[in-house]
Amino acid sequence: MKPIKLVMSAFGPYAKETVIDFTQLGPSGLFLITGVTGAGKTTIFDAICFALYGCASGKWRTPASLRSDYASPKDKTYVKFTFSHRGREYTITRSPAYERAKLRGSGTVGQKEEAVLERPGQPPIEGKRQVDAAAAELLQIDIGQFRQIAMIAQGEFYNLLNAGTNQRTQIMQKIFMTGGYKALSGNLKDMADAAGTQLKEGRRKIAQYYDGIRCMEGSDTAEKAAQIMKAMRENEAAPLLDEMEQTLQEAAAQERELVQDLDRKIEESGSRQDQIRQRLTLVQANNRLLDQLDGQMALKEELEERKPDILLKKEETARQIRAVRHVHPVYVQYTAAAESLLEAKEKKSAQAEKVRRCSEQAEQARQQEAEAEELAVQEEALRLQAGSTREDLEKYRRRGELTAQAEALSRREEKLSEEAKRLRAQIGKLDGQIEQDGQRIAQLQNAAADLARSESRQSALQDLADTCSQLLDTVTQKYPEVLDTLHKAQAVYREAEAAYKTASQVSLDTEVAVDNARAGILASHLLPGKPCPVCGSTDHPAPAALSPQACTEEDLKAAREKAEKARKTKDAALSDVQTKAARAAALQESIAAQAEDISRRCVSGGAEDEDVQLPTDSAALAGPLRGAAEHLMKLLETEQKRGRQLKKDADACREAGQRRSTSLQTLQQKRHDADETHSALTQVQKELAGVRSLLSSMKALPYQDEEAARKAADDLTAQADALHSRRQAIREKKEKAQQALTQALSLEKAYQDSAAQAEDALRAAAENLNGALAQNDFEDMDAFKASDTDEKTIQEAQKEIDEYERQCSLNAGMLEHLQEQTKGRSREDEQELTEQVNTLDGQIRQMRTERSHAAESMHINKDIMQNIRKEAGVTQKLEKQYAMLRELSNGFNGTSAGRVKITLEQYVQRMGFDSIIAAANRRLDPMSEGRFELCRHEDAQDISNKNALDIDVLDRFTGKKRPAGSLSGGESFKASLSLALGLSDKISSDAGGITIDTLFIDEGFGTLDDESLRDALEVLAGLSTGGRLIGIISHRKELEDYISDRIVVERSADGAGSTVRIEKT
Amino acid sequence: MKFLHLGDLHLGKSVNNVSMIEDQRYMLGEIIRLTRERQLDAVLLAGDLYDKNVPTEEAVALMNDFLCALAESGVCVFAISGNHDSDIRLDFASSLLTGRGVYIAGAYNGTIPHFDAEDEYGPVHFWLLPFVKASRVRYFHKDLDTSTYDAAVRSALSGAEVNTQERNVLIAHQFVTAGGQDPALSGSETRRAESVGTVEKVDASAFAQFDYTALGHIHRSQRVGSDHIRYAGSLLKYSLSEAGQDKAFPIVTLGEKGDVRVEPVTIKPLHDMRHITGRFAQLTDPANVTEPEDYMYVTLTDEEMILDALLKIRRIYPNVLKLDYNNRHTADIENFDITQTASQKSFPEIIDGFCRYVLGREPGEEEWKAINAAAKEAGILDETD
Repeated sequence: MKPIKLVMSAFGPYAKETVIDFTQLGPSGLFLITGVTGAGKTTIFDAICFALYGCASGKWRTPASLRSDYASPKDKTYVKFTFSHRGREYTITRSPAYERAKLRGSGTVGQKEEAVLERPGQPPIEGKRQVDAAAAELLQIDIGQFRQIAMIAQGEFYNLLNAGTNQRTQIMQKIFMTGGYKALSGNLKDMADAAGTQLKEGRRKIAQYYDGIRCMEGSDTAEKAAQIMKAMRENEAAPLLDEMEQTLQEAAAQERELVQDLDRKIEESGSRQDQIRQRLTLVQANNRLLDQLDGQMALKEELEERKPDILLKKEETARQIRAVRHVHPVYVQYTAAAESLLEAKEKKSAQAEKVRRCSEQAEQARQQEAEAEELAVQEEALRLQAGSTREDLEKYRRRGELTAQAEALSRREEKLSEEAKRLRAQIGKLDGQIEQDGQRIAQLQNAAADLARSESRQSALQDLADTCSQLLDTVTQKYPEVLDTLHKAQAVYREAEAAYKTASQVSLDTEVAVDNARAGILASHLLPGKPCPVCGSTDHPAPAALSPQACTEEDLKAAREKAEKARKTKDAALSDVQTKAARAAALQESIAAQAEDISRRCVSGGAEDEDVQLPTDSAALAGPLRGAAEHLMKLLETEQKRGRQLKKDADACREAGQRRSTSLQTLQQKRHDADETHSALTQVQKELAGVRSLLSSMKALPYQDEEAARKAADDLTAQADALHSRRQAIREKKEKAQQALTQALSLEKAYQDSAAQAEDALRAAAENLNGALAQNDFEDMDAFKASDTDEKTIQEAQKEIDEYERQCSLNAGMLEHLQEQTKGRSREDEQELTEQVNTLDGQIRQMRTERSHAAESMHINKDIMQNIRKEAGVTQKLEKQYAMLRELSNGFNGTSAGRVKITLEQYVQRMGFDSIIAAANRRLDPMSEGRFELCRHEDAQDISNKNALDIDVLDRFTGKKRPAGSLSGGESFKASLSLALGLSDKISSDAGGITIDTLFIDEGFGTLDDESLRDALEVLAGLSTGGRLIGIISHRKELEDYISDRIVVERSADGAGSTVRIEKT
Repeated sequence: MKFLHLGDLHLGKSVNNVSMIEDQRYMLGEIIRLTRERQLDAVLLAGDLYDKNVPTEEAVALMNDFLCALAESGVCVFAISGNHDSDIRLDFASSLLTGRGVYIAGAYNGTIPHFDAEDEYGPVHFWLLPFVKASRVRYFHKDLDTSTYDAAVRSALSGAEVNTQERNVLIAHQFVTAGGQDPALSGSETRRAESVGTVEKVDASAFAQFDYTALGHIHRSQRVGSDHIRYAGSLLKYSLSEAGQDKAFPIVTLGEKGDVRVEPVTIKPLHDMRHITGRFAQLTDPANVTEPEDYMYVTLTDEEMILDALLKIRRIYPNVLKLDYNNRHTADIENFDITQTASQKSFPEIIDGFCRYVLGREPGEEEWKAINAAAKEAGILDETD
């Protein structure tokens, strides 16, 4: 970051816009900012700091205080800083938030904070937050670091030197970009942690596997296993694999033994059990046989008991068989026959009844038929009538038409005649009206002319009356006024005349007096011996005496003037009087003239009935004039009244005229209409007569009209059809009845026959039945019925009998057999045996379970063994890995117990730091004349390395090291300056990271004595390399001798702020 | 006519915070004795009479005594202001002093004051050109060439109407080169004149018209371009680098025109200034100690730092001015090159060094794997590394 141009406006002591062009400074790169205290030197640094970071350079200045107190409210506070950075040019314009006085009104208004960053080839960034972020990114360091390495503000020199390790670490991180190393250490730690977790997991798995070990309860092995588990749980240490293996093997062996033992036992028990089973089976069989025998015996007894019953049953069944199988069908036959006979009989009788009915009906029908004949005749007649009526329909129609026509025509006729009448009436009226109007007009012809005349007369009268009244005014008012004025003027004149007379008299007197006095005056001047002005005598025996009323020339002049004035006044008054008199006379004349005129006019036009003669004398004029005026007014009124009347007449006349003409027109129209109507009427009448005659010629018709005729015809036809159908019905009915009768008769015959047949059949059946009864040993029907059941019952009984017999035979056989088998045998107890078998069974089962359990355990333990072995292999590897990683991690992160605690980052930083210190020493050596050397704090005792980056100073004079803070002010400054230069060297020599090729030093040289100052400046003078810019603020004069490029800040005397100029010497 | 050419008295100067006023006083006393002994006619003071613009009280008092003593002896004094003096302050009562044979030229006002003396051969003109800046010359001679410093000085001199038939002596305070070659510095000059920016040099040819040019400004006594243009050198050794040079002041004898003889004269100072180098044991061996009162610059060559070295040395040399070391370590410091730093070390080197330091051993293969993996993830190494 290298400054190019700085513009400050209303900033600090710079009231107006102030520009500093850094490019104007020489190529050397070392420049001085000089000026008296408070002129604004540090403000320049503040401005740069503010532009870049939005804050001031030192701790003690806040942005709000940056606005110039000298600025007018119009001036905006801002800083515009152009700088180059890595070959490109940037401009930041920033203004702080501040309060300024309002341009209008009182009070303050707040100005917001603004910031703009312009970049090459890209749009500008605006807004404080955005610009802050962009600037930080550009410069790569924050304001704290900037203040430590690029801008060293007043009083803050020692910060760099005395910064603690932590702070320095941060800067180092930025400079040497050691963040990566920090991340590396972090990653190693993560890896170690991950490995540790994995290891733990592996161990846990092993423990879990081991937990599943199966041992014999209470055995030593079990105890050992338990102990091992406990130990493992407590320590989570490396698993005791050997012990585990041992216990597992032991357990396995135990189990194996157990299995074998159990196997043996099971076999034994099994065979014993078989033996007992065999015996049991035998006993059971024997017992079963004996039981069976007993059972058969009992059965036999039972069967014996039942025998008689069975015999009976047998008998009965035989009987039933006979009845059912042999007699029953015959009986059935018999009953059937009887039934059919009955049926036949019934049918027969029924049928007879029916025959009778049918014949009745037939008879009836025949009778009706005869009647029907008559109806035929009627029907015929009706039809005829209908036919003729239909023929006449046409005629009806025609008649209807004509009638309608006639009616219409007559209606029309009426209307027309009415119309004609009406028209006639109208015409008559109109005629009358016209007549009237004509008369009226004749009357009022002249009204218009008369009206005009009246009007003119009215105006004349008006005029005259006005004139009269005017004249009256003049006479009564104006003239007396004028006269009055005249009298007044005359009075004034008389006064003025009198005054004039007095004044002129006074004037004359005064003149005389003056003349007299003149002598006195002259006399008063007379000196004896001096010649008299008048006479020349030198002897003045009797000089004139001044009259007591010394009237001087002035008095005379005054008097004369007064007289003159009075004369003038008099003359004026006189002329005034004259004027006024003239006026009065004129007025009098005019009045007289006007009066004459009035009189004349009265005569000539208007008041014809009275001559109004007016005297010409004004005085006597008033009365008659008034009278005349009144008279004229009266005349005017009458005339006006007349006028009005005439007007009315004229209007009426005009109206009448108009009406008449309109009426004439209407009359003509009406006449025309009347003619038309009349002709139409005649026409209609003619037509009507024609139609009527036609109608009368038409034949009379029975029916009303066509419709009625048609309806009548239809009725007739309908009637005829009805009759026809009735006839038809009768005929049919007759035929049907005939048919029914015939049928019934034949059926009756059939039934009779079948009845006879049925009788026969019955007889035969009865015979059969009797025969069957006899054959089957039945006495009678009752006996038969008693035995008559159904087949099913027979079957059942038979079955029962058969069953019994079977059982008997079976039982006999079994008995025989069993008796043979059980000869000589007896019962035995099988319970005990069964119990034994069961017990053995249970035992065997238990043993089996135990065995399988043990086998399982063996198997399980074997699996566990395998798993543990596998896992152990993995874990071992993990252990190694973990140990390695843990050691690495501890080492890299400075957490190794008992070893030097320094992180990798710090180490790298330390190396870099060493280089900075070496660079610093290169400057400090000449500056301190070989006395001081900076070195990194190394404490062999302290391995915590908390203070790894602290700075110590080696004083060669004493050969001892001491902390940098123990230096004196001036020594501290030299050390700090060297350190800053070293840092600057380092930073500018690196291509990456931060690029700050500028160093600003604000004061601090004040702490140096002359020699130190010279030394320091020698060092600074040698820094003209690589385009670096070093700016120094100091008020020490010596520096001016040493540094030729200067920015001089001057405080203006009139309090208008400071100015800046660049000097080169 | 015989006169002593002195310059660069720097009265009131401190060297390494030790005030030299007593030594200066002694020297001036010796000079006064010399003038009396040799019966000199004049003493020339070629500028930098004081060390500062506002000299210390002691310095002023000393100057006062010096001038008074010379005047009492009837010796003329021709003095000019140098770049360290305040020319205006030096001018104080200078016109009054001319009456007593003390001629001081302070502020340049456009002309070069000259004063005439007489001897058996005729008049001798002494021209006094005080130290000027080009801008000041320009101010008085706008029409003359002042584009370079050399041109400015020549322009200023042009105003002096030098009668080359007669003998002329110029007193000036300049940085004079001879044919492009700079004069040899002694080390205590401030580098201001040749400091950053324009170099204010004048070539010796500008003084060709003068029979003798008495120069001041360079502290080492020497001739420049010709025998008759000389620097007297400073009154005392004022810096370490002068420790080896002995001061010798020219006594100039003017005979007839063209006869100029120069005789350098040494005056032994109160305390010499010496530089001794060696091991501490050697230097403090009483057998090696001579003149313990001298102003000493001590350079120890011990490789190891001696505790309380200065204190111990001061017991032997009470006037020790400075102590430093010259051993491998200091040589390293001097020769340090910032560009050879950690950032140039490769990653494996750094890790190796670190592990040795913290773990006491190099990292093993497995460890390298882990480290590389962590480094790749941290972005320090590329995938290709």
